[in-house]
Amino acid sequence: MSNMQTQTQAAQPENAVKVVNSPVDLKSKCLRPGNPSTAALQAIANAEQAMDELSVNFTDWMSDESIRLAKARDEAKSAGFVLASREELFHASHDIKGQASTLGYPFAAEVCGSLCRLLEMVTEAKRIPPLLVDQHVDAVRAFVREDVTGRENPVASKLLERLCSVTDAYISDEAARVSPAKTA
Amino acid sequence: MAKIAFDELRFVVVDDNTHMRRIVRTLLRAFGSREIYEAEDGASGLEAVEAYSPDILISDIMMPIFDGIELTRMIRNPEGGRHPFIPIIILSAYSEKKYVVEAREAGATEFLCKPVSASALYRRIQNIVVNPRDFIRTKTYFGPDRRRSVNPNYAGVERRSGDNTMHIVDPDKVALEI
Repeated sequence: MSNMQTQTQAAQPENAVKVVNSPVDLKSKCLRPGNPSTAALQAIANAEQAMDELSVNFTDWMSDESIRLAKARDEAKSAGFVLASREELFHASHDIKGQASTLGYPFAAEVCGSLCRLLEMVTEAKRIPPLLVDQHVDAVRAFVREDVTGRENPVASKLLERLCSVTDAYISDEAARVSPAKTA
Repeated sequence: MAKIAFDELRFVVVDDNTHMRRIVRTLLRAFGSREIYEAEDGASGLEAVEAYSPDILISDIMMPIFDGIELTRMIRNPEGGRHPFIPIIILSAYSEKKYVVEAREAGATEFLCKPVSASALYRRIQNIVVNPRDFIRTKTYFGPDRRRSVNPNYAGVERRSGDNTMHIVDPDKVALEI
């Protein structure tokens, strides 16, 4: 390396930041004359219409997902919630958390959000309460079986509320047990 | 005034869940896109990016082999693939801040939380097209400018060299005007 190169590098601060112009130019590629607001509204309306048409499949899809969740629960329970089985259960639950609202089952999405929190926050496999896991999975299966879509079902709403509060209390107790000084 | 010609845009959608891929594909097709390729894990997503040179990549985080964050890091590695500048939308059920930050630090362009809506997806794509951000290279980062707001009270040293234009955009409020 020449002296000049060495000096140049030495002059660069450790946290030097270089701005680079991106060669990607999507404006030139895909912007066309037209009314942007009308085009956006039309595109979004088209997409919502397409989702309406797709929705004839949603009950079957939710059924598939809830069967996968129950299977993952069974395997995780028999394996004592060891890492791989627990990850698959988390994954199945996380998928429902992400898509159930789109499929019309917001309560199922939130129950799975609660189950994901439980599996993520309680790090010791032996401290995961199987009964509480069962209650989450069975709630999702019941919502699908009874076709609990939308947010108008008071029983489902109460069940969700109770599952979330019990789960959050358990997570909090576990955190206190593991690190009493931090949570005191 | 301009509108987006979605039929000019090529997408790769990476998600291990077949239902989710179908949903995203349905939305993109309804927007007008005709070229949508799919992959079901990070590794095949990386292959799809190399094979199809998409204009925009949409990726989940939680996937087998390697996840969406690792996929983003691999794409952004300037010594890795051929498309380090490709806009990347992370579409994930991970809504906690730590995942948003992790995706940003990996070089994601936009983050969209599931459940996905037509409107939210449209706004993210619109933001990418209309308000492209410069890229930043440091010793530890290569990706879109992570500054989305300017602190008017900042009195420290400007650490950047080169053009310092800022693009400060809220994807939900972006107006499509050029």
